[in-house]
Amino acid sequence: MLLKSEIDLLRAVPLFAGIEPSRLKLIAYTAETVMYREGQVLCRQGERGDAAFVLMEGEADVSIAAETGDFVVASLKTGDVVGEISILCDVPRTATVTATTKLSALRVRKEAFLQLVRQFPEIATEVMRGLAERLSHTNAELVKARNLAAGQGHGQGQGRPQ
Amino acid sequence: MSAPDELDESVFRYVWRYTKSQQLWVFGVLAVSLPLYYLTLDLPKRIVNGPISGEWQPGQTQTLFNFFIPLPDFLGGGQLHISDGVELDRFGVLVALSMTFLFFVIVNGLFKFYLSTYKGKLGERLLRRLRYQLVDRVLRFPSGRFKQVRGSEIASMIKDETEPVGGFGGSAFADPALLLSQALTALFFIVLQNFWLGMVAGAIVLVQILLIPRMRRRLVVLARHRQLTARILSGRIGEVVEGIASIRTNDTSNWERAELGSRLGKILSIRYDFYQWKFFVNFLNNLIAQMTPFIFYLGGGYLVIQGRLDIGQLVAVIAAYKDLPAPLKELIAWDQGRVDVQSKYAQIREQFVMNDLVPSDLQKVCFDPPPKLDGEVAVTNLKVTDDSGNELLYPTTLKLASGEAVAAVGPPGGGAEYLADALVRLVQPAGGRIVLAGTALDTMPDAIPGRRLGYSASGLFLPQMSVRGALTYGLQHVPLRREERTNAAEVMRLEEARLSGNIDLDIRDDWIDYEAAGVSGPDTLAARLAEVLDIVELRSDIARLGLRGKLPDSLAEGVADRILNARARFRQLLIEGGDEDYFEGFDKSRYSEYATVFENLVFGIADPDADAEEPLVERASLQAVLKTTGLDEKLFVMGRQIAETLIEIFGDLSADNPLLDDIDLMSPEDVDLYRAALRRIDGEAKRDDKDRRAFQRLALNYVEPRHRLGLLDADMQKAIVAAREHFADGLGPDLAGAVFLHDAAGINRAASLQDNILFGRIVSRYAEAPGRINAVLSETLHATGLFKVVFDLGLDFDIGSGAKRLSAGQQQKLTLARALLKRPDILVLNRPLSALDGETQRRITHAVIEARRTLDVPRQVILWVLGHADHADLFDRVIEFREGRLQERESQTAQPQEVM
Repeated sequence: MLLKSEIDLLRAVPLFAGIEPSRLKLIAYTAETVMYREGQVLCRQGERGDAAFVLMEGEADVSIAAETGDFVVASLKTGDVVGEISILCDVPRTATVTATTKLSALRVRKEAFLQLVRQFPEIATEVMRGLAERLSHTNAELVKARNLAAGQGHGQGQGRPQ
Repeated sequence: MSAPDELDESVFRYVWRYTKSQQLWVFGVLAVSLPLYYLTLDLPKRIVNGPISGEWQPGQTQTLFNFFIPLPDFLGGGQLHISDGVELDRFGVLVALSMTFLFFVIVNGLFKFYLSTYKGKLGERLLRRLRYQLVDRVLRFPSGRFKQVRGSEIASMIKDETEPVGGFGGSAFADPALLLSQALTALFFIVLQNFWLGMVAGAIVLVQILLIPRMRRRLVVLARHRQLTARILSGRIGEVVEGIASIRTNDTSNWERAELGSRLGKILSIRYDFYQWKFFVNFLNNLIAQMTPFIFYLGGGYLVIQGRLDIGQLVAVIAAYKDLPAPLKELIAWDQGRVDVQSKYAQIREQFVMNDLVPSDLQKVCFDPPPKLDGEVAVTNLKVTDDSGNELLYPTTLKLASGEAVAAVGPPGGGAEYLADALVRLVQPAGGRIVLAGTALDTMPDAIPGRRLGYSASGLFLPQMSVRGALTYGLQHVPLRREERTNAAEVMRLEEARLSGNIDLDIRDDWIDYEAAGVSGPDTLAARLAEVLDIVELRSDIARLGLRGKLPDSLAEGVADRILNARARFRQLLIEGGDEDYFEGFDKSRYSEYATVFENLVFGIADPDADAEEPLVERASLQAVLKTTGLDEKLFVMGRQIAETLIEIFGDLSADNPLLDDIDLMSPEDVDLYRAALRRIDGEAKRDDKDRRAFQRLALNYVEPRHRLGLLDADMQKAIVAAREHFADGLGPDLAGAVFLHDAAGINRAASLQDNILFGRIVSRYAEAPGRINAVLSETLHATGLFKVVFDLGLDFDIGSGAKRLSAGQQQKLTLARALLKRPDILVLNRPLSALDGETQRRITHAVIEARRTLDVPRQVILWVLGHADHADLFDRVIEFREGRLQERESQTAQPQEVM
C-alpha cells in the first residue's frame, strides 16, 4: 500500500479527521503497514503492547478471555483504531485482536504514537474523545450486565457485536 | 641464576647481575679492537711521512711487513721471525700501506658493526627481561594492591619508562671504559709533552667532570618530576576512557578538559625548565672545553717565549688536546644518560618492589593435576577487614559439607560476599583460617584453588577474545598438548626466552585442560561448551551470534556446500509449509522488492564499512554504469522526489524531534543539506555533480515497501535489473572489496550465515512473516545438521574489549558458564546473575545446582551468595549475613555450625 492511499484512509479515521494533511503524512510515514491472514492475531491479551493499529482493510474481532472461554466484545472494520490503551497507560494488552478476514493495518509504534499525542494536542483530544466514548459505552454495558445478572442470576453473555 | 626476579636497587648492579658474561665479552672484543683502531689512526701518518712526502732516492726500496716477536731473555733473547717481509719501491710502498689502511678500516668497521649489534641485542634482551619481571610482578601483586594502582599507569611504566634502561644496558660498562681510556691516553700524551700544561689540562678536565654532572643533578630532579607527571597523565587518560559514562551523564567533559589541560601545562613548564637548564649546562660545558686552548696559547706561548718549551712540543700539546674533548663530551653525555636511567629505574622499582608480593613458588608452572578437594570446607573464625581495619566480616565459623549446596543471603555488604571472596583468596583474611578438604587455603599454591575452585561474580572483567576463548579461559593453566617443534625458529625462541629470563612455555600450544572439563579432547569439547551454555541459558544467544554475524574469512571444508544445501532445503520447507508469500528469494532476473535499489542494481550487498570510507555512489565504476544505462538521470529524479517528500513531511519539525529518527533515508543533520540542495536545483542553476550524487544516494537506499512513496514502477525496476549485467562480469577495482555479489550457487562472504541460507528477504509486510521464517530457518538448521556450524561460528564471535559486545546479562552468564565448565570441587558464586530478572535467575540457579549430576561432579560444594533471598529454597541450606555477622537462621537441614 502506498503512502498516498494510507493518508486517504487515515483522513477517514475519526481519530485523525481533524488533523492537517502534512501531519497525516508524518503519521503514515512513521507507521508501517502490516498484513495478517485470517485467524492471525494482531495483539494478545496480557502481552506487552508496543504499537497501536489502524485497520486499513479487512475485519477483526476483539475478544476477552473469561473463565467460560473467550468472548468477543467488539468487531472492528476499516478505519477503526485498536490497541492504544496499553501503549497510553503502559498496561498489558486488555484484549486479544484476531483478524477475521485477510487484513491489513497501519501499525503505529508506541514511541511514535506517544510523540504524536505529546506534540499535537489535536490528536490528544481526539484520543481522549475516543477513549471517553468507549468508557461511556463500557459503563452502559456494565449497567446492562448488572441488570441482567440481578434479573436472571447469570452474568456471562455470548459474544455480541457492539 | 640465583634469584631470577631480583630488581637491584642500583641499575648497575641490575645490569651486571643479568649480563655479566656478555659485558665481559664486550670488554674482550673491545680490547682486541682497540689496537686496530689505533693502527688506523697511525697509518695515515706513516703514509704521508713515508712514500708521499718522505725523501726517496730513485730505486730505493723499503721492507714492509717483517713481523717478529722479541723473545724474553729467559728464552735466550733474540727474535722469533714470523715473516721476513717484502721489499717494495716507493710506489709499491704507497700501494701496500694504503691497502693496509683500507684493510684496517674495513676490519675496524666490522668490529664496530659487531659491537653495536651485540650491545643492541644485549640491551633489548635486558629490556625484555625487565618488562617481563615487571609483568610477572603485576601478576604477583597482593590483591589489595590493585585498589591503589591505575592500569594505564602500570602500562605506561612497563612499556615506556623501561625503554631507556634497555638502551643503557648495552653501554653501561663498555662505553665509559672505552671513553675513559681514550681521554686518559690523550691526557697522558699532553703530560708527556709538558708536565705543567698537562696539569692545566687535567685540572680543567677535573672541573668539567666534577662540575657539569653536579649541575645536571637538577636536570635529573626535573626529569623525575616529568616522568611522574606524565605517568599520572596516562593514568588520568585511562580514567577518562573508563569513566566516559560518568563524564557524559554529568557534563563534566569540560572539567576533564581543564584538568587534563592543567596537567599538560605542568608538563610543559617542567619540560621548559628542563630545556633551559640543559642548554645552559651544555653552553658552560662547551665554553670550558673551548677555553682550554686559550690557556695553552697564552701560557704555552709565554713558556715558548721564555724558552722553557720548544714550539714543537706546544703544537703537539694542542694537537693532543684536540683528542680530549670528544671522548670527554661523550663521557659526560653517558653520565647524563646514566643518571637519567638510574632515576627512571629507581622510580619504576619503587612501584614494583614490595614485601608482600605473592611468592613466585605459589604460581609455579605445574603440569600435574592438583589433588581433588574432596571433603568439607571448614571456615574458622574468619575475619575480613577493609584497608583501615574496619570489620567487614566478623569472626565467622562454618562448615560446608561435601556435596552441599548452600545459599548465603543478606543485604549487599552484609558479609556474605567477603566470605565468598575469601574462599577464593580474592581478599586476604585479617584473621582465622579456611581449610579445604584438610588443607589450609593460605599455603596452597595457586594451582589448587585456581583449578579446583570455580568462581563467578557480577562485573567480572572479560578481556577481548572469542566466546570460545572466554569459556575455556578457566582451563588454560599449562600447555598440556604440546606441538613438537624442532626447527631453528623454535630453538631460537627458547634460547631468547632463556637469555632474558622469560617463561619458555609456548602460547601456540593447546593449553586447554580437556580432562578438567570432563571431555576427551578438542572434538568433544564443543558439545560440553553447548551443555554449560545451555545451563546458563546462553546457548541460543551464541547460536544467534553465529547466525547473524558476518561469515569468517575462511570456512571449514564442506561448510560452503552445506550452506548451499541448507538454502535449497529452506526453500523446500517454505513451500511445503505454504508460506512462500512470506518470503522473497533473490532472483537474478527479478527485482527484489524488499532489497534496496542499490542491492537490486548490483545484485549483491555492500560492506557498510566501505560506504563509510567513501560513499559507494561516488565511486567511478558505479557512476560509469549509471551513465551508460541512463539510470543516472532516473535515479536523480527519484532521489529528488524522495527528498521533496521527506522534507515536506519532516522539514518543519525541530531538529531535536525524536520523530526525525524515523527517516532512515536521511539523518536529521542531512535535512538542511538536502533542503539547500533542492533549492539550488530549483533555481535552475548549474547542477552540481555533488548534489546529483547526494540525490542518487537517497534513491539507491530506497525500499518500496518500507518507504511507500510509489516511486518504483515496472519500467524502472526492469531498467535496474537490466543494469545488473554490467556488474556481473566483474567489479571495478573501486568496488571490489566493497560490494559482494549474490550467487545462487555460491556463498556471499559479506553476508551472515542466516542471509546466506535464506538467500532472499522476509516479506515483512506480513506481521507473522519474521516469526514464521525464523521457525522454518530453525527447522532447516536441524534438518541439515548446520546447528553445529552455527554454534561453532557463534563460539568464534569476538566479544569485544571488556566483552562490551555482549549485554551485561550475557557477560554474567558467560562467566558463570566458564566457572561451570571446569567442573570445580567448590563452586563459589557471588551474586553472579544480578543483571537478570528474578525468574531467569531462579531458572538458572536451579539448573546450576542440578547440573552437578550431568557434569558428573555430584560432590561439588556450592556456596552461592544470592541476590534474591526468595531463591534460597532451591538450596540444601541457607545461611544469612547481616552487618558482617552470620545470623542464626532456621534452614532446611540444620543449624549451620552443626551440619556435617
